[in-house]
Amino acid sequence: MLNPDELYDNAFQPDNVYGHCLALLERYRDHTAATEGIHLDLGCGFGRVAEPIRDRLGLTYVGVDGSSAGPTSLRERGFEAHSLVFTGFEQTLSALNAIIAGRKVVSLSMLDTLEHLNNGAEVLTAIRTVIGPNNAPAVISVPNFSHRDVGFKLAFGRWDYTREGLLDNTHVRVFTPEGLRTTFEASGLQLVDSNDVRIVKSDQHFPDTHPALASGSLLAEFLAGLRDQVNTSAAVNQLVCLVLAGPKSQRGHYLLDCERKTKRPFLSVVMRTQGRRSHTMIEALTALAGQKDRDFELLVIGHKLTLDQHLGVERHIEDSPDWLRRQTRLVLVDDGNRTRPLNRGFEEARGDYIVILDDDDVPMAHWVQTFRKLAEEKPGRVLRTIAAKQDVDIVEVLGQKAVRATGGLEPYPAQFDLLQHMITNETPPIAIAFPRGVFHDLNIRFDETLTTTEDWDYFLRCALIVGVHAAEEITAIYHWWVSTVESSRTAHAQAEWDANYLAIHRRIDSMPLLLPAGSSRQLRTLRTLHAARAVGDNGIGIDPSNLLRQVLEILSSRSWRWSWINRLPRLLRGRKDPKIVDCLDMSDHQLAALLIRLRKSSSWRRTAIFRPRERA
Amino acid sequence: MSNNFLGEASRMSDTMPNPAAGPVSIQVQSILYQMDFDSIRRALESLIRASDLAIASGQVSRVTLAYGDTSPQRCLLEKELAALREEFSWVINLTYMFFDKNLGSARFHNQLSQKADTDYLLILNPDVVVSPRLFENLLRPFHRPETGMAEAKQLPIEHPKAYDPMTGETGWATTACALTPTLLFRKVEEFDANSFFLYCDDVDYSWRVREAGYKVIFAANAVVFHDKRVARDGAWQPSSAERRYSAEAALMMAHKWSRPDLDASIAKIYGRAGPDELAALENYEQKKRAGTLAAPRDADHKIAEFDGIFYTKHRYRL
Repeated sequence: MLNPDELYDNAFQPDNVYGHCLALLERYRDHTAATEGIHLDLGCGFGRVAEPIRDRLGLTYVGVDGSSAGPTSLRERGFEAHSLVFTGFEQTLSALNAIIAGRKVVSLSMLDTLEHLNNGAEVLTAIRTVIGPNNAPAVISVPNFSHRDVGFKLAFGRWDYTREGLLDNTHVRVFTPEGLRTTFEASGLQLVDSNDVRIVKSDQHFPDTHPALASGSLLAEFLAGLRDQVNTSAAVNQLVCLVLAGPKSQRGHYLLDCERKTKRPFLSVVMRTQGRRSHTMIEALTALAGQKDRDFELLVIGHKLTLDQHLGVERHIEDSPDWLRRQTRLVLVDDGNRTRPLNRGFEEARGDYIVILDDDDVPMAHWVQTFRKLAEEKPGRVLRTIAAKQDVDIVEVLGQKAVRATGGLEPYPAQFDLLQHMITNETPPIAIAFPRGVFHDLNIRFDETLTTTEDWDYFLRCALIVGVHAAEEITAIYHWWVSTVESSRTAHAQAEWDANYLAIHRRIDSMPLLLPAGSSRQLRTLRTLHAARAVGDNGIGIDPSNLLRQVLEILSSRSWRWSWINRLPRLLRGRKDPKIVDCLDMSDHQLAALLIRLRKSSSWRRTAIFRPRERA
Repeated sequence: MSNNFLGEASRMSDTMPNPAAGPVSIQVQSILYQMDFDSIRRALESLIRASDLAIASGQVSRVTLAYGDTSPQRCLLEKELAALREEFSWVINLTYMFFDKNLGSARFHNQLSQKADTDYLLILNPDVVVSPRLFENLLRPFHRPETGMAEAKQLPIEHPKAYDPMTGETGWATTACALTPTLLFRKVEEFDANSFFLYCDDVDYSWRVREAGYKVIFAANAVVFHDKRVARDGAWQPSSAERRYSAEAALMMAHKWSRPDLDASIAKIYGRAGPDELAALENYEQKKRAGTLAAPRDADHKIAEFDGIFYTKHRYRL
């Protein structure tokens, strides 16, 4: 408001804050009301919106500003204008009432002023008192501090005050969309509509080659991709809001100490159910009742349940032991495909981490406990354990439906391999816990256009941002229906699976990737293998089609075993020979790397003489 | 055999109780061995809920929970016991015996059963978490008078032994969670505590139930959760004690159920195996020399079914 270096005399333009303010007022104009009333413009500056308000809304414009230059200009242009510096609530209200002088306030505006006020909350409360009696709308605008130009620079330690603009040196408060809403609500103003001014390259878009800003920079592309996903305000220059007088919220405009850290359960378990398989759901609930670590909540997401199915699901929840029942909520979702319940479940989740437990899978007793251990080791990463696949079928013993295992346990790969996951999914959802921040802070949601493999897509998108921390321990049984039961595997045509598969690949291909340490080594190995395949001979004799067999052949060969003396110096230095049992859990990339290492080793090369077939 | 105290229904007649005829009473019995309070409580909370639901549904008249503690020191202190009783006495009658010695679970189950005044005994591992409708689902097979034992399905690792997918009939039942009429338990002379310390007392009991003309039923919809874990490759990782006592039990089973051929081949294998198996073999030979082995039965091999190292056919390998 009072900036000795700036007069804030900006012309009216349809696409600037004046134009957006006018558009909002026109949108909510009460056409039935007479025009005898005033439009009060607080912090009006030179009031370049005065003419359009008079001419297009037919209102009497009254400007109020702390400086003298603005009101003087307005008066010279034939408008009523007053000089007033806002202090406390009582003084401001009293002064405004004197200006209003019994006239009807039809609308009010306060553009780019609130951020200059030390006593903004009191001024907003005064505004509420002024517009309340006539239910008059007020348009209030502030610069958007969450513009990506500000945020990205600040993330790398840069903060540039300017004469005016987003970081005007006379600002005393900063606002984000959510912060502005809570500020309004704390003063009894309810946000009704907004008409924000968008400027992709704001006045803070400098220096042009800043890697976080420059549109051609990979870093900028990566950051912008994440930021744009969170909400639509990344390119908003000014937040332009229309508010009405309403109830005051109990919350203040800032967080209390106790609000900074919300008490949450460690884990939210999101259980999708269509209510068709009571017998499997009972198994899943019983397994939850057997958890060693009970610090979880259970969200049962009933998807498109009939009344009978709804009652059945409620019955199972009600049957649970008291402690589990108290930690369980049923959420009904009546629309969307199988992905919709996941988004609803994740929205409802209060836990620090969120895991999907379908109603036909069975966690082991240390399922929650293992996730917690992982979270303590690497907070904020996606947590991954091993699930063991088991073929199951339905039987009816004495007329009662039950699940029957038809095969042994087939564990998914023990070691997590991100590159392998970019080709195909090797982790069922029961073995993954997502940090709540990816959904609730970065707004990474399940893609509801996918009708299958939605969990794989989601896992990948999260893993490529926060990384994965894995435990090589089997913590859950993933049931694989072999014949009699409808499952996602049988309910969708192969063409649909293929289409979803391609869609996921397309998405990954289109985004810059953040890869964990060690990825470049993996990529080099892949490149070597690829080149070997291309020329048909890689000089080290690798056949990419059966890597495990080739590794095992070397490790179990006499050449390798008898040449241990060659490796003695290294063994004495603490380096260990690879063990066959470890190879069984390795991915193709890891096997390829090991195979190259073995083939290149002096032990192997020196003993080539004992392998005449190889020499031939 | 201890016939000094028969159950309510059994006292009135020598016929087996039938849950279809009205509510029945159940004694749940568990042998504690060095279990922590949290684990006991975790299992107990689910058992309480299942008992409450079974009584509310009118299928069960009352539930007694009998703990026998074989640990060197009590698993439940008096004040903990008092607190549990106070909290849960509205559903169950909780009894506790501290045996102060470990002579095997079979022997103490027999002891606990002697005080049972209920129609049924539920033999339950103390760390097993039961499903809410366990009692109703385990009692259902007993609507057929030929049923002598009903076993719950264990989660998360389902036992791979074969069973009839329509009738549930199976060769033997594990007593991690199995229901049997008290009268029958006494009639077939309880668990063979002299032969079995830790394992196979249930196989042996199941076979004697079948020998007495009753069926053993796998109630696949009666589920319980038993904290079992597997190695990274999905295989069992038996502890040293598990290897030792299952090896001993295997020798006992082959002897008792008239398979000297098998006994000899197992002994031969164990003679070349690890220290656990050798210890088992030594104990077995000692009993043999002392003449304290059980008398062989089922000479015609009509009941016992040995399938390699298993006591019935398995559907798949774990």
